[in-house]
Amino acid sequence: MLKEWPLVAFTILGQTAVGLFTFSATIFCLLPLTPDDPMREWLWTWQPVVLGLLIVAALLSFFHLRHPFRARRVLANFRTSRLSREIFFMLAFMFLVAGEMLLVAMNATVGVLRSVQVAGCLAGGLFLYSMIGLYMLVTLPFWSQAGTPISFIGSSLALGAVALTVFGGRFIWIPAAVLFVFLDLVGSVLFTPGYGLLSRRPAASLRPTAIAPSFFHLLGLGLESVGLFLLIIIALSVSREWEGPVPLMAICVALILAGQVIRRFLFYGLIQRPGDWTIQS
Amino acid sequence: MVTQYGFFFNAATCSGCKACQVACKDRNDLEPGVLWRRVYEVAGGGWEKKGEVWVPSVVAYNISMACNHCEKPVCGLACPVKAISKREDGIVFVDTGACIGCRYCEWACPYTALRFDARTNTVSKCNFCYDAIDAGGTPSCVASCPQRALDFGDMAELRKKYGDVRRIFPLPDPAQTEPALIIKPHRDAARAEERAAEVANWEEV
Amino acid sequence: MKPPAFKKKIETAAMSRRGFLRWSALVGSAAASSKGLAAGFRRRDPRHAQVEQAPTEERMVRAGCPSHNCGGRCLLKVFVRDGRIVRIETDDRPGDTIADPQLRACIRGRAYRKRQYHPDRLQHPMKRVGKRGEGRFERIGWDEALDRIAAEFKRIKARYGNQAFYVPYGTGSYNQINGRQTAQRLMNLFGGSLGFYNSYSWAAISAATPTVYGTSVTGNQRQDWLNAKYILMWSWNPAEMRDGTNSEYFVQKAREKGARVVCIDPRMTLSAVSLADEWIPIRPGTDAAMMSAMAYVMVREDLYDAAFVGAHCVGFDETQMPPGAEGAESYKDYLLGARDGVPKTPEWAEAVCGVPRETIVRIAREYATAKPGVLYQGYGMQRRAYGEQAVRAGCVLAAITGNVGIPGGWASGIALQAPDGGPFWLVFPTGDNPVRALIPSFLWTEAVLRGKDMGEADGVRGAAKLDTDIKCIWAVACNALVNQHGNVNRTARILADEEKVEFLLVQDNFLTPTARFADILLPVCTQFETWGLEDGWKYGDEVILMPKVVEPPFETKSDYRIASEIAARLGLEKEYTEGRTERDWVAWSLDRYRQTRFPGLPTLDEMERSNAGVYSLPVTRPAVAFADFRRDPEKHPLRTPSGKIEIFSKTLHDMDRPAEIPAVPKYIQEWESPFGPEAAKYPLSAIGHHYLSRVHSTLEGVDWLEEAFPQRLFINPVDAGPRKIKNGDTVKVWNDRGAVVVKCRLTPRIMPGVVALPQGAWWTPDKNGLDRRGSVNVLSSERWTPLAFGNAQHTIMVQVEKAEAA
Repeated sequence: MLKEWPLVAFTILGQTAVGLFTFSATIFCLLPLTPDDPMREWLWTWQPVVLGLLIVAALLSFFHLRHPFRARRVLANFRTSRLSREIFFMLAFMFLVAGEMLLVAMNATVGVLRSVQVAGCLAGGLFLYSMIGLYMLVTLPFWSQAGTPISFIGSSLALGAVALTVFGGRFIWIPAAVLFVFLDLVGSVLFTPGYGLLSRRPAASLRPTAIAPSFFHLLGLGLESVGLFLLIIIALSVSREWEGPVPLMAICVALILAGQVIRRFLFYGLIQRPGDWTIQS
Repeated sequence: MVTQYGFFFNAATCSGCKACQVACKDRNDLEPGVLWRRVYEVAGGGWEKKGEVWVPSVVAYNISMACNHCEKPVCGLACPVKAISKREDGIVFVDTGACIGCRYCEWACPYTALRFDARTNTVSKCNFCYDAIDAGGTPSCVASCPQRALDFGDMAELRKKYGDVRRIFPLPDPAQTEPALIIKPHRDAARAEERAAEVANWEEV
Repeated sequence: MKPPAFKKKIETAAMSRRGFLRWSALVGSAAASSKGLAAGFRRRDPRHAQVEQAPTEERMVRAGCPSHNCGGRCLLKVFVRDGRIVRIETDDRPGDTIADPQLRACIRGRAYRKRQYHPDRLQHPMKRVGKRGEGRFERIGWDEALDRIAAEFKRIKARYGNQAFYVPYGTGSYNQINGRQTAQRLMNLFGGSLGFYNSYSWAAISAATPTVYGTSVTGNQRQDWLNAKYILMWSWNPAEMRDGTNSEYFVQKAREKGARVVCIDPRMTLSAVSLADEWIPIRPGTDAAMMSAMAYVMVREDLYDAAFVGAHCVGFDETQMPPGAEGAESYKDYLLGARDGVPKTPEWAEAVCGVPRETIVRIAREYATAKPGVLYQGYGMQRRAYGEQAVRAGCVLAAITGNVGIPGGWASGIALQAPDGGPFWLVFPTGDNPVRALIPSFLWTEAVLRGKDMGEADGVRGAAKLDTDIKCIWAVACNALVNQHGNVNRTARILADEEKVEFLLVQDNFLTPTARFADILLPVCTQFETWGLEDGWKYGDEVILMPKVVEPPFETKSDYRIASEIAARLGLEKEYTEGRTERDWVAWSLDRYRQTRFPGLPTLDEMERSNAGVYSLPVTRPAVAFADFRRDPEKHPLRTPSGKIEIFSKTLHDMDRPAEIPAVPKYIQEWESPFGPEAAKYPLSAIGHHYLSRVHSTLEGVDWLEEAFPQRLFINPVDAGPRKIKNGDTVKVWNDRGAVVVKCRLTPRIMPGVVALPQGAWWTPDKNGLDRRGSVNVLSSERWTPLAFGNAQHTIMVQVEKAEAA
């Protein structure tokens, strides 16, 4: 299960990027920002981060391939392969984020920037949608249940909101992060495939049932809950004029990230590959 | 003119001897750990003490399975580089020269037909011994079975000869991929689910 | 010094271009239908076609599968390219009829390339350095090896006489001109050697069957099974251990035709799953109890064939006791408990064998009324403490139900094939052994320890007593010295004593546990690398050619070649070879077959030209054993003292050992059983069943076979649960004789109270003497059966507990 770490990293990084971009685009499109609003500075630091996350994710998934240099044809099966589509929309998303950074450097107007951001959100949303679709194959009953999209969307929003708080800017990010992490946790407790209270166990199949001891799921939930708790403490204790990150934030982020990573590993562990259960002489 | 080649498997008389598994490995030079055909042992039920005697309610049978060359091959639909394609006669083929090793098809296939080969760093699977078929011959597994429990041919012919059953526990719903497979169920297959049967030899498949 | 590793060549798959070029580019429809989705990728991109490999010259030779003691004699198609075997297929002759079916190889024949080119194959002659049994060797040349062997042979002959030589039972190579008979022929020319009788496979059943029928030829040709209405497979598992190629296929066909098939076995075997309508688990070693109870039911309910019994049997009841034993206990007396006060009721049997009484009653009724029915006795139930009793009891059941001498019936017992005893027709001439003395094959350790004191009471035949201990052992294709003999730790101690066995010569393909004890170890080539010839395995009607397909590698030689070179050193080359090479002997053997059994058999040249590989006689009218006797018992008496079927055997009666060798078949509690005091410490019965990963101990280490059938202790969750053992755990299995550590497999397919450890795994002791591979003979006993002096190797009680992984 641990050998799936490139996929876990890809998923976490990709979801964080989508969440962070969506929030930043929403803020930029909805808030009336005056030209000298310090918010602008904050906004412009997030886009390189989004792009950076996506580049790292792309490189990880590229080099985890056994034959990366045959991958030039990886978009060839867009019509039927959800993996082709996921990569396409990821590339489109990256392109739009990079394009937006270029436009900022060229001092494009707010109208143009907002259009690009909307397009980027769309691309990011489709990226997330096709990422979810990847796992929702009818032949994978363990993954094709409600818990998968709930978990992926929940993670995106939670990680995106938490990423906002790392950069600071407005106090409102903190309760927003509290909200989305809380929702993600509730969704997880109820719907996580294999471990959620309302999740479906699939029927017997030609794959062994690979549910790890529930200790690990509870550990993931627990760490994230502690992170959430600390976030609430911070929310209650910093002033409304807070603009910069608080050192305690680092611990929150670490805990929440750890919880997300553990639970993502458990997710991947549910569907084993033949080599995982076969003895290798 | 064959439109869809398929396998017939007689689960009622398969002993689990695995001659078919190794015949395939020999023909295709497969290393240990790469199983294009494998034989699942399904076992379930238990034992009850009645007085001084233990009485079994055990069910057991075997399923020999390679690739079902599905009419709706989810592996090919899923492969991002189109390394998997389907011949006119139905045989589904993996072009290992195009495979990038993403292993998505291994997840997609509900029959776990796709197998990663560490020697080539690609995925591979049963190719229906297409070169033997093209020369008028027989797939190795079919020719090997000491119990004559395997057959092959055009699905239309197989259906006429052997019926329509494409699923026994714990195989998936055939509507998912439309496998080119006809099975004669073992008499224990009907009771397998109620006896909590499951694959008993995971490490061998 | 470890012998250098055999270089492994990676075989690459040669992909032909033909299939690719025939694929046309199709544009799929854009419909949302599944067909449309599928059609969407029918186009193939030719840029990714496999690099074509120019096909080199490949030839195909039909050859018999290298004949180990596997239970089959099958036909292979061996593909050779550049002097190397690259692929193996099997018999694909058209027809595949019941009369003349294809001889399809099992998984072991199909995996043979991996044995043929195994990196651990012995390559050069070696001599021992260090103490015997340490397994340390030094490479030497053939000349030095042969000189030393000849010198030792001469020395031992001069000092102890020929009776001190022993060529032990070994079936690692088992065809006309390869195997131990090549050594025995030389020994016989050299003055002889201590002989043996019976085998590790069939000791009890071979001794017991003639006590009932006066012969071992009690089996019909197998096509006759299709005439049976009922087939009781008692401890018989042909789908897994292979009892003649196609036996399981014939049972399948019989069932298709309407026969009801029942398996009685402690395990739900591969045969039970694939052939039986019902599996009846039975406690190991208690078969005679259930058989007795079945006979009781037949007597009580008047279901037995009284007319047949009256005309064809003796000893069934007091009206037909043989002269001189009129007052002795008849079978009916035994069943009703007239003498011992214990009626052999189903209730009584249930407590012993673990089969519910209603089931015993039902099976008795089914078998008695089937008419005709087959009660096939397998070999696991007789390879035990009082195996002779189970055999006799089964034969008696067949007799009293009248299933003898009729189509669809089966007389049971060892059941060699009618009319003439069937395959294993050994034509290669070993000559006469000037040493007349014979020991039971299983008692060779006694002959090493105290040969001088062995006499009739130890099963010695041909002489009143032995003159000497065994001082020299020449083990050819034999791992039965160490790995396959009971109580491995004891055997190892005996062989390690260089004062006892002074010279141990071993020739083999691999460094087996037996080979580790060699003083001189000679590398033998495989069957594909020399000539051979075989017929069926117990059943069948064919001759199969084993041509030399590839050259022997390094310095390996055939068994025959080795013996002829030793013969040369002893001045006996001409007498030994008679001027013939291996190929000449095959031609000679074909002539013998043609003269005795197969008049239409082609010559060797013709067989090579045709590349047919096999010559078979279709069986359209299967021979039925005892048909004449049944028709007219007076005119065609059996070769028993009474001329009839001896339910009561006066011969056994006169031995006057009623507790262990009763005159009528009886259930006798085993000396190591769940019912004795030993069960307090060792509560689980252990059996060492035959497993498809090996042929006995041959093919150990072939990775394709180990991945298909890994070495595991099979244990029921009922027994594993209280021991906190989970599936896949490493467990320790032990008793007073030794301990093994092996991984386990939980399965419901075995009776609670019984564990199974597949036999043949190579004894692999660690530095503490703990076997790490799971050799069942670490646990089995050297004690032998009372009548046959046979191996009781499944009579084992053990304890199991969870162990630390290695």
